[in-house]
Amino acid sequence: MNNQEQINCDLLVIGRGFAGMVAVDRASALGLKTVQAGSSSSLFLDSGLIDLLGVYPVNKLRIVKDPEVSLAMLKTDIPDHPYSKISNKKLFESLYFLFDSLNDADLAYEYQKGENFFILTAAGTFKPSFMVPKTCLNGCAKNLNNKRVLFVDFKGLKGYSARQISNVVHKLCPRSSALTIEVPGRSGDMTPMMLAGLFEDDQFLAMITKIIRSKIDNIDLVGFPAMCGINNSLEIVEQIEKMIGCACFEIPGLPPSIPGLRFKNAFEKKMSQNNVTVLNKAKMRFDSFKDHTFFMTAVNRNMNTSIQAKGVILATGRFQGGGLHAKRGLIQESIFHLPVYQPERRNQWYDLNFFHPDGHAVNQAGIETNEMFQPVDKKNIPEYDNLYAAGSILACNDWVRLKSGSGVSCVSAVTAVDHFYARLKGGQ
Amino acid sequence: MIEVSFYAAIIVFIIGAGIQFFRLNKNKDFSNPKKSNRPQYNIKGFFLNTFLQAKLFKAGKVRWAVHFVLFLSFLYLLIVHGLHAVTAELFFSDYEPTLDPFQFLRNVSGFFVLAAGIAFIVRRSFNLRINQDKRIKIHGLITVIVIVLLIGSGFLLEASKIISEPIFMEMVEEYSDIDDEELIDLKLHWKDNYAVFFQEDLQSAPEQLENGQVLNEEYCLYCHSPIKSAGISRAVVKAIYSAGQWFNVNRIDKALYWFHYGLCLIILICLPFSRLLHIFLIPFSSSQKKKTVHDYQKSSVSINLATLYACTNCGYCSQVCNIYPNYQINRNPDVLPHAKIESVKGLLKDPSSINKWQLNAGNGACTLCYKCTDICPSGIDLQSLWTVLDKKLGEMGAVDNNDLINETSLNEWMAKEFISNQKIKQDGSPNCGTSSGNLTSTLADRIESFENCIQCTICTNVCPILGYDSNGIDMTPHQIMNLLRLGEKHLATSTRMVWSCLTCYACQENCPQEIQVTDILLELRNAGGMTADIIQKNKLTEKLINK
Repeated sequence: MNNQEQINCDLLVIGRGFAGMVAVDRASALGLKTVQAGSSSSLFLDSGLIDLLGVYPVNKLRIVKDPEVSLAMLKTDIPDHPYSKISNKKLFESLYFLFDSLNDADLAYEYQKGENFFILTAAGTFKPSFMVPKTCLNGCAKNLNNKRVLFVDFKGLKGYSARQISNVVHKLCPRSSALTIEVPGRSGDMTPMMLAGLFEDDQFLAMITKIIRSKIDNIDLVGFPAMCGINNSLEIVEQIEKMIGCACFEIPGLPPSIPGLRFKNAFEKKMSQNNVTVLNKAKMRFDSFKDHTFFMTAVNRNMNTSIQAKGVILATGRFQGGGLHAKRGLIQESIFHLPVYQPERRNQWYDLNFFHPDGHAVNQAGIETNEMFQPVDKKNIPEYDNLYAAGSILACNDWVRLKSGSGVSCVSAVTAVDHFYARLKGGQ
Repeated sequence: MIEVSFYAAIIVFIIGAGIQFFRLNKNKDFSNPKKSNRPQYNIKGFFLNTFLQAKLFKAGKVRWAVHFVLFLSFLYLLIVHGLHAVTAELFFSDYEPTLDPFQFLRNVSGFFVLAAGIAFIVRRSFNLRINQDKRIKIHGLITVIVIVLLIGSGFLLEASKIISEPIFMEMVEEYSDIDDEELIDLKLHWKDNYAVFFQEDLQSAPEQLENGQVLNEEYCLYCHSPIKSAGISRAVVKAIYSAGQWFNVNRIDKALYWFHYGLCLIILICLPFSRLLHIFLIPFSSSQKKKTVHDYQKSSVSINLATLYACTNCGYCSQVCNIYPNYQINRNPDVLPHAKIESVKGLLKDPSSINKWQLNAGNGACTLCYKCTDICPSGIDLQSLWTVLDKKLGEMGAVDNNDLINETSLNEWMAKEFISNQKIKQDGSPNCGTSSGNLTSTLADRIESFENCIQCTICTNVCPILGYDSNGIDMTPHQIMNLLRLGEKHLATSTRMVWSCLTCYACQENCPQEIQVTDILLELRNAGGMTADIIQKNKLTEKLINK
């Protein structure tokens, strides 16, 4: 507590997760002086797939093929859902902004208008997702149909089994097979990070492609765990394709997930290019709000940083990220003590049936906002002029069941930043 | 009589030197010198450090000045005063000890040696800004006390000779042919000018004094400079003059002569076994070829152990020691080079007398930063010594905590850990000296510090140790957190992960739950280290546990 530093900025983004990263990126694209603060990011746990809306309606477990159709239904059914607060045009603009932004950072993604991809996962299932890494593209259901696919895994790698995938996708591609490669000199456990590091080594690539070529012939596609290198995955996958002589793809799996790490690295690279100040591992404390300015303190273990910001984006996440805190009686918002939309009593948090198709009431808890994503009180009046909320902290947003996590984060973050920007410019 | 004793002392000295040479030579195999390596010499270092004491100058200017003056003065006393029978014929044809400049120079040199010696004793006795090993404190002091006694007795001897009437009478009889009346005149002159103490009461008259002066010029002045130049001895004369009669009657001057001369012979005899051997060994150690980085890389370093005896235990090495803070916390004296070198000597003499674990722990903490080697005024190649010592201790069966834990099975560790914890409870302090630092685990004991772990394995993923050598690691960081959640902290302290951790903080930086993973690992290592300390210190064996 011996150091005191003072930072003045236009926009303070609290949170280092998906919404926080997108908000910072959008703000720097608009030329705002931005500071990002928060506890360490858990993007490493992110699958790397950017979902818009995967399942709707949830209680009928209907898989969404065309997100635009389902979005229209959602907007009429749930007026409080974040998607209902913005037009479709703005919504897709936000996603395309993210797409361009990731491309800028050499992270190639792919989307198709009006249609979800169905991407093969490490469980052997197909996940509906709107925007996917290019390296996973060959693994979508359309491309796999009746193909001879070879699934590769590595000895010692946990949570990923080529045999399991091969067995589960048997119906779609009956001629698939599995191969386990033993890496010489590595008899112990293999972590995703280790494997991703190995994939960046040319000798390792030569070794595995040799094994794959010698063991199997007549294959159309080869599926690897999504660990083909940390930084230049697309190049590596293309290199493997050249060496084997057939198309390859990555299969996203359990966390910790390398696509999530790539995502984080891409954003952090952009942030350093844009000179964004990042306060990692900092707990935020709200001091006061005067003359449309927030006075906040970032408390680190050995340093306090005072921040004066004209606007704040609250992207602190839910319980895991620390944005919401569950007390015995009620759920609280950690920093500003904003009113939290939640069930009246604790015994209403969960349904008696854990697998109830409607989900649980506590999953709807969060911060209620107006259509500008400003947190509001019961009378629908914004709590603070320039405070916006984005990401999973928003109320009526059961993103786990709707398969809409990254979509809501991206759309709310971009919209919130845009509203702040408009207000800032309008005020001047 | 004098010659016989002198030659006898010389013979004893030669025998002693031979024994020492044999002993030092016998220990040579400790250093494992490769036979193909021809000894190479550092001529420049030899001359600079022997005659100018260049390394001491580098270490401290005042200290160098005092030591260098002492060195020159002692050299003068030895060559011109002590060995005048030999050197007078060779260099000074008109040498007389009572003539200037010899008389003056003798007094001045004596004063310098005495002053430096006393300063040395005071400094060593009261430990003024000095690190010295307790084991050899007395050993080092005795040598200096003997030298101070030698010089002190020298001054006393000179003073007693000045006041001696018997010697005056002997001289008069030998060198003059004067009658009794003239003798009284001469006595009067000498009483006044040369401070001789005469028993009879001498009444002086001016003409008698004049006559005495003439006689003095005629017979004495060729050999006797005024005693003004013998400054220190004159001061001593003033102090003992009142007891002059007792001195003269009992011929104390003769007794003092034998005392003074005896001390010289004792010093000569003891020289090969005393700290004074550094006079010969510092030139020797300074002449050793300096090691280069290349030598250390080839790990072909060796050290001639005779150079260890060039150590004067001046403690300069410990003043610059990089890991002095380690000593302040652990209170393990063998962390510091000046104490470590004494332990090595002990190890050479009698390996069982030295606590090898303590020495190994101290030497293991050494970062080989080269600072001690750089500053050592004796020019000892300490860097090589520590390198060789590390290897040798390993061969002698001393294991460090890391190796000990690596070799201990989990069951054994649990049993030993249990006993050592009881020992901590009994004895309180687990460190080897008077402990001041609190190194016990606190984070690993508090549930709040790890209860938030969601076992997401990010820490394990980013760990560079696992990336480098996954086979050598038994547990990964997230598994350690799980061990703590299961309440098995004592198992976690012995895991390879804890002991191989680089403390790069990658796990802690990346933890989404803000758990201080690295800090916890580090604390576990300290806790395990302490347990291992107790196990090694108390030589907890399997047998003891079975009881």
